[in-house]
Amino acid sequence: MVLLKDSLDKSAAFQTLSALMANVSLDELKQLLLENCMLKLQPEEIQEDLPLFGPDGLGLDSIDALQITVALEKKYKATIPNPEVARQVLQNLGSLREWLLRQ
Amino acid sequence: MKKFDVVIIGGGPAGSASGALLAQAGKSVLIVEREKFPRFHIGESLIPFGNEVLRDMGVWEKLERAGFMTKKGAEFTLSNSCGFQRFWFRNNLGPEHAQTFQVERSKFDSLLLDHAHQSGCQISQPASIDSADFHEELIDLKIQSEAGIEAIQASYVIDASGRDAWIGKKLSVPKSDLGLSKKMAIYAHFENAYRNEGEAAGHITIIRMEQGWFWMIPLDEKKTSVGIVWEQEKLKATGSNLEERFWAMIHSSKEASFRLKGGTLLGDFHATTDYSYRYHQSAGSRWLMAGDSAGFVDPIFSSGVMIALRTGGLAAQTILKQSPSSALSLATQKKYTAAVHQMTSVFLKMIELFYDNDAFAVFMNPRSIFKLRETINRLVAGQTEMDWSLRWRFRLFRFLSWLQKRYPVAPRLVFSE
Repeated sequence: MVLLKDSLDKSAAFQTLSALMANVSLDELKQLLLENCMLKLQPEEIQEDLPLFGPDGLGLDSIDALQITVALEKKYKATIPNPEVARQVLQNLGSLREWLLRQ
Repeated sequence: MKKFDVVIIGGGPAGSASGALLAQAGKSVLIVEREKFPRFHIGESLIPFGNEVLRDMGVWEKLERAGFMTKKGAEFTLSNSCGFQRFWFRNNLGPEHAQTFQVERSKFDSLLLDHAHQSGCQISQPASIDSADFHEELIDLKIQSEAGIEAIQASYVIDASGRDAWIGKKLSVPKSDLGLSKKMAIYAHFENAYRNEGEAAGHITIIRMEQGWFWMIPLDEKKTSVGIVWEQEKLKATGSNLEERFWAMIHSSKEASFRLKGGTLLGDFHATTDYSYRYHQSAGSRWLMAGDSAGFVDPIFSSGVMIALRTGGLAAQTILKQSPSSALSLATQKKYTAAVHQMTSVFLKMIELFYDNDAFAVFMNPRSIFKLRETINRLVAGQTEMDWSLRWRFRLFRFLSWLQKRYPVAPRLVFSE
């Protein structure tokens, strides 16, 4: 089957993106948090199930949530549709990672 | 005429556990099992607070060697893939409760019954109880097997007959439906379904839709049990047979579709309906119910087999405490019934929370200032005997769930796919 050149390009881009997302690691996501938020904990202290929001977790606020959402779109082309879903997806790094792996 | 100290109706986990423990203590035991083993059976996930009984009856090492999938925790996800909570038993419990097993029942039940036999139980299989007459000093039974009908006598009978509830039905013991709506579960085994990475590969996964939920239980390297649970009438309306209904539900769920993509069906679809009930009395002067025969709540927290093992152990203990062959006093009967009810009551409360979308929002967003994560972990692990601190936290969890309806303690869950 003959593929048109731009289909090939798109397919290659898609494969790169898929590979990027299939390998999303917790460390990568911690890096993303570091780059976009003021963290009160060291990355090593951030466990998979530590709540990102709220006083008993990492203590991020809605500004941080927005920063993260934008960063996720830029890096992974993954869009969180609204603030309510954001709160759920960003509950902790585990939930963020699992969500990303399925986009 | 053959006489036994104890006749046990049923060779599933409750029967094998009680039988092995009684035989090991020197009692003469006959287990009567209706089906030839191995055979398929539902109830494929253990929880850690059943481990004691498995250790006491001496079968734990056999389970370790037999290749059952190690279960180190449980995870709860939303059907739209936008919510995810993973629990590890070891985070809050000691090494004896850090892990347990996922069990393909054909293998597990055979192993346990074999072990009961090796412990000294006589097994009549396939065989059934034709009749049982309860007298003051003993019970007259007629056992029907391939060899014909045999009359035997026993000092005590343990009903481990599962949902068939032999004694409950025979003695018309009053029962309750526990106020739960009629549900239906449709399930099958698959090969090559999605697996979590690393040690989480053995976790049970619960996928919660706005209404209804799926389970995914990795039984071994390749095989996964998948089930859908929903209101009986609503699930029936999604298709004209089990297969249609199962796939209709899978396709309506983003998370379930993702996890089952690439999976191939092994064997048939099965179903169980209208499964919630509890008998008001779990013991009489010469009988005790163990496992499902006393009652069953809901599969959501995998409490069934654990309760079967623990009540089996308790039934054996109760008989062993009796001065030989004496009837159970009313006080002993009440104490046993209270202990059995306590186990199901804790899970009943948790189950009511699980099916309530507001309470479930609190469950999926456990605040550590209230130690909710630890509380949930312990309850999911099966810690029904609570110290003051756990009891208080469980009440707090229920209070926050109640409050959630009026004031969002936790973010409201978004279920839309």
